[in-house]
Amino acid sequence: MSERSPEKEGDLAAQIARLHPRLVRFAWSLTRDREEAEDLAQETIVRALAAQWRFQPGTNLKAWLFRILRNVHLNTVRNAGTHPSFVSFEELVVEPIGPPEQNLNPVEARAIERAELRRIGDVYRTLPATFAVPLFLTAIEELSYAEAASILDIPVGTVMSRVYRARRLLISRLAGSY
Amino acid sequence: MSDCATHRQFLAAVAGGETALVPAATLDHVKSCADCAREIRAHQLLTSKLRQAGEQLAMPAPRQRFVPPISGRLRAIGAGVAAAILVAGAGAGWLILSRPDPVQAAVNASSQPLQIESTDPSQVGQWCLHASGRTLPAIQLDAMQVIGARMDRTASTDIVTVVYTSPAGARVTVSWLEGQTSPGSGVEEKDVSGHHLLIVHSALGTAVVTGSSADGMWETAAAIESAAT
Repeated sequence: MSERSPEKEGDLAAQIARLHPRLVRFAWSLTRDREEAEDLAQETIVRALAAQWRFQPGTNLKAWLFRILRNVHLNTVRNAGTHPSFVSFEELVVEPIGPPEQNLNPVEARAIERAELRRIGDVYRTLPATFAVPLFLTAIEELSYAEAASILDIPVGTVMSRVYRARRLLISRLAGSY
Repeated sequence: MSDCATHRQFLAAVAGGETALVPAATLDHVKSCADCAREIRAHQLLTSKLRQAGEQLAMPAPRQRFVPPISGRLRAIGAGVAAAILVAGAGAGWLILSRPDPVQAAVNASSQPLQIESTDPSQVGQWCLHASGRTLPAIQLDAMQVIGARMDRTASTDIVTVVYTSPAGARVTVSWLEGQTSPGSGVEEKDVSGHHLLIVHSALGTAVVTGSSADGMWETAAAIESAAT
C-alpha cells in the first residue's frame, strides 16, 4: 500500500467535493426523490472521506464514489424493507421494445436529429429505472460498461442489454411511436 | 436485414466504443452494412444529446446541509466539502424555478393511457413497486374497483397514478405525488387547466384525485382518508 500525504488527501477530498453534483444526480436516478438523493450523496461523501486510503490512485474516482453510493442506497433500501428500483425486473416491465429484426427507421432517425434537449430529458425521465440507470452511467456519466457493471453489481452483458433497451425505448418514444 | 437482427443488440456498444465486448462477427458486419452504420451514428448522436441534456435530466433541489464532523483533520475537509456543496447548489438554483407544478403534472398523467390494466390490487401494487421502486401507500380503497395504473416521472416529482371505478361506475384517478410532504390532513378542491380536482393530504402522502363525477372523487378522497387512519 502506498503512503498518502496530507496534501494528497486534501486533493482527493477536494476532488470528491467537486463530484457532489454528480453524486446527487446519480442518487436521484436511483431514488427519484430529491431529499433522499441529497442524503445519499452526503452520506457517500462522508464515507468516502473516511475511507480515502482505500481509493486506488489512477483508477476512476467517480466510479469508486458511485459504487459507495450504490452500496449505501442498497443498505438503506434493505433496512427499510423495500426493494431497490434497479434490480432485475426486465421481464415485468410492460414496455414494447419493438421487433428485434427492425433497424432504426427513418422516422426514429429524424426524431433523434430534431429532438430538443428538453424533450430528450422529458422522455428520459419516463424510462423505467432498470434501464435508465445503466444508460445514465454509460451515456451521461461516460463510464465504461465494465465500470457500470461494477457499480450496479450486475454482469457486463446485462449492462449492455439494458443500455440497448433503454436506447430503443428512448428512441421509440422520441419518435412518438410508443 | 435478417442478418442485421443478430447484431442489432450490440450496435449501441459499438457506438460507445465498447468494441472489446462486441462479437468479432458484429464488428465485421457493421463495416459493410449501411443500415447498421446509420444506426450506430444515430446512437452516437443520441449519446451526444444525452450528455448535453445531462444537467437537466435529474437535478434535485439544493439543501443547505453540513457534513457531520468525522475526526481531526477530516473535520476541516468536511467544511470544504460543505462549501463546495453550497456553491454547487446555488448553481442549480434556477432549475427549481423551472420545475413544473406537480399537481399540473398529475392532471396531465391522469389523462394518459394505462401502462398496466388489471382488476387485481396486488398485481397493480406489484407493478407500481417495480415501476417506481417504492411501495405505494394504498392500492385497495374501500368500495373502489382498481382497473389499472401508470407511472410518470417529471422534474418535480414521480407520480404513480392508479385508476378506479367507483360503486356508481364513474372512472376516478388517484395520482400519488412521490416525495411530497403533506402539510397536514385534509382535502383541497381546485380547478387546474379546466379540470376540477381534489388534493388529498393524509398520513399516506399527497394524492391528486380527478374524475368525471364529483361524487366519485369525494368517495375516493374519503376512502383514502379512511385508509390512512
